[in-house]
Amino acid sequence: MSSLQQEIVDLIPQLRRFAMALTRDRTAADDLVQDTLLRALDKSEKFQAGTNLRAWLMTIMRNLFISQIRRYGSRPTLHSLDGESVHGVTQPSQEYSLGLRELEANLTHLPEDQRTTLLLVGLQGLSYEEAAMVTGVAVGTVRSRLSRAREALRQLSALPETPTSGETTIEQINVSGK
Amino acid sequence: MSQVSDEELNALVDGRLEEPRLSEVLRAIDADPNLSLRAQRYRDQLQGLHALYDGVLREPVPSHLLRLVQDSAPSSPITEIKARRLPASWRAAAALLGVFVVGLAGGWLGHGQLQGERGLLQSAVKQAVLAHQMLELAVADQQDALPAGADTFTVGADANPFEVPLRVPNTAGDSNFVPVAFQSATGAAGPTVQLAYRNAEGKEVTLFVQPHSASRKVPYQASTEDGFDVLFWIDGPLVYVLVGKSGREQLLGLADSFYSAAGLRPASTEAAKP
Repeated sequence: MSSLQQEIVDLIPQLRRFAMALTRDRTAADDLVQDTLLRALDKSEKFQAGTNLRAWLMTIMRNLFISQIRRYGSRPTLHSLDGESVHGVTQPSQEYSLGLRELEANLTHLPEDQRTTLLLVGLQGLSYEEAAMVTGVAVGTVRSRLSRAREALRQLSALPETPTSGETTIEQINVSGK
Repeated sequence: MSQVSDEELNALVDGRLEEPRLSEVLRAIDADPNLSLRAQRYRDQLQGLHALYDGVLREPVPSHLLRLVQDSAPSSPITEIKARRLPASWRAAAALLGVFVVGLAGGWLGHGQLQGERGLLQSAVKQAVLAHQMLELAVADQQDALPAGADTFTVGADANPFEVPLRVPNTAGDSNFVPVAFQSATGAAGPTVQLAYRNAEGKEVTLFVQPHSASRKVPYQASTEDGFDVLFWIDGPLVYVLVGKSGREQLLGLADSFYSAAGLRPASTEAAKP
């Protein structure tokens, strides 16, 4: 297996997480990952070694997902995640689980560009510059989309305090993409 | 106290605000309960996203996705599969299966509207699912009539509509699926073969085979069609589609059996979009 193939294999979990957040359906997510891998392997000669493979793969995935939306007229979501897919660091309380469900549902109300930007930065840990590359916009646009997405979610969501609330610090939030 | 912009608040939450502005913004948040609450909500959103989706990172990667990458050699030339004539000794075996030349009830399901390899595969998958549904209803217990003992058998020349031998397993997968029915059909896109397998638990899968105009190798790809799990691949001049409701992992094990029976291995492949 080539080094590129190994790098792609290493990134599959992150691709699955992004796909799951986009589609909210396990089967649809793995199908989207599969399509992304196929496209990436087919176009691998266009990838320049040493550049940002993760951003390149997420660009492919995001473009494929948008194509699906255009083709089907709406998000290809079949059903919501089941209970097993909610994994908190600590055992979530019922109230917190409900808050997560609400957050998940509210994400679907965001415009696609805002939602994708929020997922790329907030969930996948991409830098603003990388998110700009993936979505094909200026860094300033990424910042404004993030701002609008978070504010819209804040208005929509009544997410309760987390089980470890009270002393939550920014450092507790994983933004590295791992 | 300096004003904190929306973008600065977001940069703070994302850990991307640098000194000296970072200290100024933190002081502003400490002094403003509304701003502090807003920042906390943004942090909660981030933590919520990770709580919702980080579990996927800890799951094992589905093997068909791993193989898709591992078995692909994007820069290598397409592997040609040499056609071989059917050994005479195998011809009798297919006759034992019983051959039914039938048309598919659903026709070709819009075959003419689909173009290229992607269209060919989409059409093949739809036909395979239909064939599986038909065979599920029509399959009779013919196990006594099937060749026993050998690991594989080659469909006899009278039953095989293809230009290349079609060699399939007598026992497939870990849960011992055995062939229970065989059909060949001829349609607008050419001949097809459908083989139904069943295991001791009564689960059934169907292998659907049809020709491809070019000799190619495309690794396993999975999809879902009408509630059925589907795995398909191209090997040389034939397109293979495996349909069932036994889950993708089991289909993958079965697909390995078919690969093994055909004397092929899923290496040096060229990935292609279905």
